[in-house]
Amino acid sequence: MIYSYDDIKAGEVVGPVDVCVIGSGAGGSVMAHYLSKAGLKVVVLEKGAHYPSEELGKREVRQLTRIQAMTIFTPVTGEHTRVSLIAGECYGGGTVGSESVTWDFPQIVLEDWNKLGLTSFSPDNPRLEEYRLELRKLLNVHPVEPLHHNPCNQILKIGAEREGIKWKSVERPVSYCMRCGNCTQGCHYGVKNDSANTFLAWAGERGADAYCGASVEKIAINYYGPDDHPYSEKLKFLQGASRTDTLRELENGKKGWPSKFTVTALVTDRKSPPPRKGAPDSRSITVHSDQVALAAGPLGTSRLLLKSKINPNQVVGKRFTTHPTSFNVARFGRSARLNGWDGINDTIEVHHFSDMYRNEDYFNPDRHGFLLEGALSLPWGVSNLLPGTGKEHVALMRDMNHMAGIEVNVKTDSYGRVTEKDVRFDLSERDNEAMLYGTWVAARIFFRAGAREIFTGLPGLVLRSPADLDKIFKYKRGGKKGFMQKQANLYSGHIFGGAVMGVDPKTSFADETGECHHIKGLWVSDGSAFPTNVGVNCCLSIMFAARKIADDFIAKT
Amino acid sequence: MSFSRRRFIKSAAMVAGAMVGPWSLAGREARAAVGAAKTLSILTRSEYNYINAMAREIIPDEPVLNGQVDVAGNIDRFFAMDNSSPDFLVMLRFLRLIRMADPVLPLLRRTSPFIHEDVISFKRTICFLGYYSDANGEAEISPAERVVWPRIGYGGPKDDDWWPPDQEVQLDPDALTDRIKEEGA
Repeated sequence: MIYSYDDIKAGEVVGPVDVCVIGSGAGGSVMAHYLSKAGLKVVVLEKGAHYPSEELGKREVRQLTRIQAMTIFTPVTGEHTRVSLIAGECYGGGTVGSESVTWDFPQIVLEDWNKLGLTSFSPDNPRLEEYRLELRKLLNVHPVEPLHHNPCNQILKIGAEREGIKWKSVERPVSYCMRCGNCTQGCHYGVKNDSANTFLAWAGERGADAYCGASVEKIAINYYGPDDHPYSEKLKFLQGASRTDTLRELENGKKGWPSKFTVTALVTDRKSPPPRKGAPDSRSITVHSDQVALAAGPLGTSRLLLKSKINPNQVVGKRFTTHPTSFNVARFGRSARLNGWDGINDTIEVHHFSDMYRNEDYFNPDRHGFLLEGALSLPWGVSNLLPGTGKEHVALMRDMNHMAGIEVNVKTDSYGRVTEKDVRFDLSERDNEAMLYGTWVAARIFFRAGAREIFTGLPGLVLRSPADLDKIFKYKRGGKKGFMQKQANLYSGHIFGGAVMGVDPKTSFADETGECHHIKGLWVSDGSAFPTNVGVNCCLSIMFAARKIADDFIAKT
Repeated sequence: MSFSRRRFIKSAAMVAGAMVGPWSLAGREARAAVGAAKTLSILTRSEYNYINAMAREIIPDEPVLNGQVDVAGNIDRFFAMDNSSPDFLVMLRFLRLIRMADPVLPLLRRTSPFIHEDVISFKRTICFLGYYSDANGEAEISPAERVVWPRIGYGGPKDDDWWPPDQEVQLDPDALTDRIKEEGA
């Protein structure tokens, strides 16, 4: 069952249940499905509202603000970087408003994780290939048909072919796509195999309950067991009577509690406009749960742990990372009618310089490691991407149908930190070089396809001929080179880290099964657990990791 | 020392306050919008007037200048009816600060060009929201009644009976000049 504000009483108590999953996106939904399938009683708490498909799509800003938690006005900042993050905040999480570009978890990243000591993520683990195939089949992942690339994406294909670099038709988890061009507002036709339509629906059929509009306030640990820190350490050195006493003490600690964890949340009506001042009306809900699976996204998961004072070895919030992205828009002649808002938004990606080709001879680690995505946007998005104000801007908007866009999506090697109040993150020098080089390649592709004018992601830099290309590398403003300035307006929908998996409890939150090193029964099952970013659109990667964590959960429990 | 966008804007507002006097700034009336007699749900009358004055500078398109499109009214309706994003409520808080910084914008342009750019960026975002985005209400009316979207060639959301064509329009590569090949680079 799916419950919302109107369905619950204030002070409602749920449980005890086997598992409380916090967050219903790529990670949480997969956990809910597989744990329900294993016969466990699951409750899902989702901060956003539930929108059936008929309520989705068609409205650029109206839907974006309903199904996504954006940080346009409260971006991630650092010394010289500003990144606006977009994360899902509705039943189904980021999968609902995703462009649906789907990549398998990169083999090269599995190798990286294996080297970090997460050996069960080794490419040699045969279970991983089973998970990959199983998820692809369940979600019906398949490449976009050649004739279904809209003209904006064809520009990227034509330019890349002329430039002699690798591109591919993206894969998407969609059955019979209507190609309406409104994927980022959720699928109005219900044909996108997002988490709401798939894993959550299947979990619901097996008895999982979901509470929407439920913002979790706190996870309370009611008692500790012998495997929890610090008792696990103490018990190593205790013998005889003192060991028995400690075990008895722990056993007595359980008395009176319905379960190990108590999760409290405030449920609001997320479909009503919030008041301009003060908090909206809310009803509290308490879930008693034997185990908790965190899947509220890197920001939500880290902040919830910090708010709940669960921060062993002060690791929570660290190793936050993302795929900072800049946008380039090109204006073509009036004869090229591109209608970038029409058809599927992002169907072609140039992956020639992606991190997955790290071992190729041509790969230069100092400036490669990015994806180029063919995309434009709807009118509000385009207007914000184009420079200037006044009559000049109005004239540019009149040419919207003769424009194409390319995103430069960098696999950063930089890490930031999530705190309760903000997120700190800065591009590294290498990231800046990769983004500059990516912009240069994107601009070459545009000129290869006949662009008249290119508005780069570098503030104020407009290229009008191939002779201008060098300006990208020379770009400097106020003593700051390239994208290492806050006005570059970077953004990202791919975020990772904050409660990462690792071998050492002093530097990581969870072990390679996703379970917290220090508190047994507390799991991380979303992008928060990723010790590195993956360098590709990440929905399927998060599902893949969650699939493995779900199996490890079942095996351990 | 680093500055977030919010801190930039706050500092800009403080500079403005110190130089011009906060009360005179807070009481400053923006030019009234054409046909500004409507009932407001979220914006104050003063914010409403200010946004419409700003819109005339940022988007001097005919429908804005002649009052056919009420940018501030659209924003008011959008916030009252739809939005559930806390981030967009932050936008309304920024609006007050931006307004205080307005009289010293020319000075900021010379002394703190990056802060100036942030202020302009904010103004663009909010004006474009009320004009180009679906907050303009044009998705709810027939294509024949629309004003903004036809001017930029946007067809609007697909109708309920819409069905996709078998294939997308296919570009003819021969019609797209390879400027790198022709001009070299």
